[in-house]
Amino acid sequence: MTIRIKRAATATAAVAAAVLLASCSTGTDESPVDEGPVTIAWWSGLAGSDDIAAQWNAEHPDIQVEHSDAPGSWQDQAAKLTAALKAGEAPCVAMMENPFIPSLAVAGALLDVTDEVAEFQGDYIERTWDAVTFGGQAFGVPQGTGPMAMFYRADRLEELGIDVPTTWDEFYEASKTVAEKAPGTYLTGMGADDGGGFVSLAAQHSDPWFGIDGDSWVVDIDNEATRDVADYWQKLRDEGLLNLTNRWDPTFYNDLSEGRQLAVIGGSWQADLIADNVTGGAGSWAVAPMPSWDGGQQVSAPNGGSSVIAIAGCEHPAQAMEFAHFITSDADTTIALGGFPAATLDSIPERDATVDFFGGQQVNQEIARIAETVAPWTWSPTWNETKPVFDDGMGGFKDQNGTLRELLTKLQKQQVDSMTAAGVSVTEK
Amino acid sequence: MTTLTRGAGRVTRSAPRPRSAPRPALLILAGPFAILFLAVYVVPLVYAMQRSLFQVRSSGLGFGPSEDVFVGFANYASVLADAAFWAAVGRVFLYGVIQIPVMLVLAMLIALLIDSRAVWRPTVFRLTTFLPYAVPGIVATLLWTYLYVPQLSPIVKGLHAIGWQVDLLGQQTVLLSVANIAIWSWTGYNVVIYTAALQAIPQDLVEAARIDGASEAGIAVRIKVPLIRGSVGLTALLSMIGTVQLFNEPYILKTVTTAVSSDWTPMMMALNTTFGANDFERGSAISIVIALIAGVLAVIYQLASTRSERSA
Repeated sequence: MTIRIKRAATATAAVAAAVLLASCSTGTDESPVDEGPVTIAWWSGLAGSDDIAAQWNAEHPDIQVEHSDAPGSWQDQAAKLTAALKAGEAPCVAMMENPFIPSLAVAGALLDVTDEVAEFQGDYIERTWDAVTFGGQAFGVPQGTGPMAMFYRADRLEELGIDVPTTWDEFYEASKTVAEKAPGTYLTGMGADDGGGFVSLAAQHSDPWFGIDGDSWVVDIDNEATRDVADYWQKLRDEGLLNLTNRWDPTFYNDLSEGRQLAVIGGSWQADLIADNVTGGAGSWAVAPMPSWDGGQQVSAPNGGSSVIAIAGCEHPAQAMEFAHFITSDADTTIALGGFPAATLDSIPERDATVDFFGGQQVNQEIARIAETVAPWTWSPTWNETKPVFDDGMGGFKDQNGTLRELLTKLQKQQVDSMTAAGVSVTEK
Repeated sequence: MTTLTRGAGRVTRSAPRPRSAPRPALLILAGPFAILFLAVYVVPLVYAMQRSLFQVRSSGLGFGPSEDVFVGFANYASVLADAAFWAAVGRVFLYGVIQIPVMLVLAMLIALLIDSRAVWRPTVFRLTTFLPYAVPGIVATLLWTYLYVPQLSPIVKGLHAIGWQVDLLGQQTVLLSVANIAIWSWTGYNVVIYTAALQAIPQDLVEAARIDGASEAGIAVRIKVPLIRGSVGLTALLSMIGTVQLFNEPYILKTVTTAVSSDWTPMMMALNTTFGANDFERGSAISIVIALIAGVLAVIYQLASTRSERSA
């Protein structure tokens, strides 16, 4: 009997332990005047982080970096960060996906480093500071931007007689052609377990869903432009032109490898992931800007993207930001970490394996051009609460339990309610 | 003196033992337990109860320091008024209604088979049925996940090959798929409880029935099953409590199907609220409501079983 109870107790104990830890949290101690080498604790879950820390440590005897692996999804990492903070075990700097940064700021997890990062401002693409700056306060430095692009099987499109679509209208026609000429094949898909992709598709066409107006947050999810985007994808879905597998399990790459899906609209990080995980069509893939809405100006959108943030209680913010600047502005380092740099670099190195996979195309140079067209975006302070609602909602969209329009209405309400509950001042638009 | 209640293997005390001062040995044995019990059970519980009465509130843009506000039972009120919470409770109830009877009837059949000596080498048989229980819950779920995911599963591929387009991870089927994992994992465990109880049945009763000409099936249904009623009740109670706390199986299946949402069961909702939404206070309130529901079920069971024992 006890074993069954014990099993469930483990989960309860985890909650209880975290709650217990929360009680132990202490305020930050005043740091003494810096003398001698300081140690900066750094959380990063990206492969290659250890080597970068070792390289930095060898070159900077005065600022030693202690790297800890931070596994799990970005949302898991954000949760771990707040738990660690309550337990008094938080690092000094951490890498974080941009959508979760305002949530962490409101949870009191971040440190205002406006003064410390001021000198680095000019080294980055102006737009990318949106992710770490709110109401004039900066909480870190931008790292990767994730400009959205279109990755596609050039050989298959040619076979089917389809020109690479440059507008969403052409994209719709192309989707129909694929379905007609190659039954069982889709031009593209949408993650049935992930709302992140849809946010970026909306960001291309709509004003940011969130903003700051004076001393209040503005929530504007359910707006005209976003509804256009919702209706467009709803139409594709209703006509059976959309591959709705899970975005984050092996079925996604399986579908790409076996040619069931011919194009992916995704962030720049997608290039490496496709090259690493897709077996079919190596050498025949290509990169192009995502289709545009009015046929005129090309606009891209941020998809994911990450920053290096300063954590509350960090005793050496200046040194921490110096290190953060190094890992985000050094071309080799940034590319080694697999991101697409937010910094303005003289030259962006290519990764050979990726270039080979994309038929010799200079993938990073193409994305660098796309990065200049990224639309502005701001995330909300309670996005961590909305993310699961959104992801679950995409499941409903797949299973036809709800439309994207209904989901927008739900998200708008959820965001206003959660901000109100958190005591944050909020205006609805 | 003690008497054995009928067959259940449970011991009831007919007269209280005379009280005596606690012996040092008792203190030595019970002391560490009491300390651990306090530290890892009572303290977190009391702390969770305390946190559930508060809310952390920010102001303005939320980037300044936040305030810890006493809100009484507001978190509980919001949990109890949350349709998603009751949807999760309802889902788990439906799951229990399906899973518990199937599992217990199956366990009973296997236990009776073992006890009837109709099977060859009962020890081997008992061990085999018990084996799935030895597989950790997470591993068991991963194993079944492999058998459920259409792209990987030989079962689903086989069914498709014979023309049965079944989706084991769909909105309609995923509840049954979760139940199936639990049945697979826990049936053997219940078999062990039942066989132990069956062995406690006085052999002369069974012999007497046999001499009177009762068939093996008749003996099983009319004599053995009623005599181990206590154990059946116990396993039912444990299964009910386990159902309320359903977590592992759906949590893992969630990664491969959209039919399982992040608040699919009350326990998943507690986890998601606490760590996903970083709301420890509301998460505490959800956990305590779940504990209360489990407690109420236990009390109802106790009352019902004492009544039925009395009337028997």
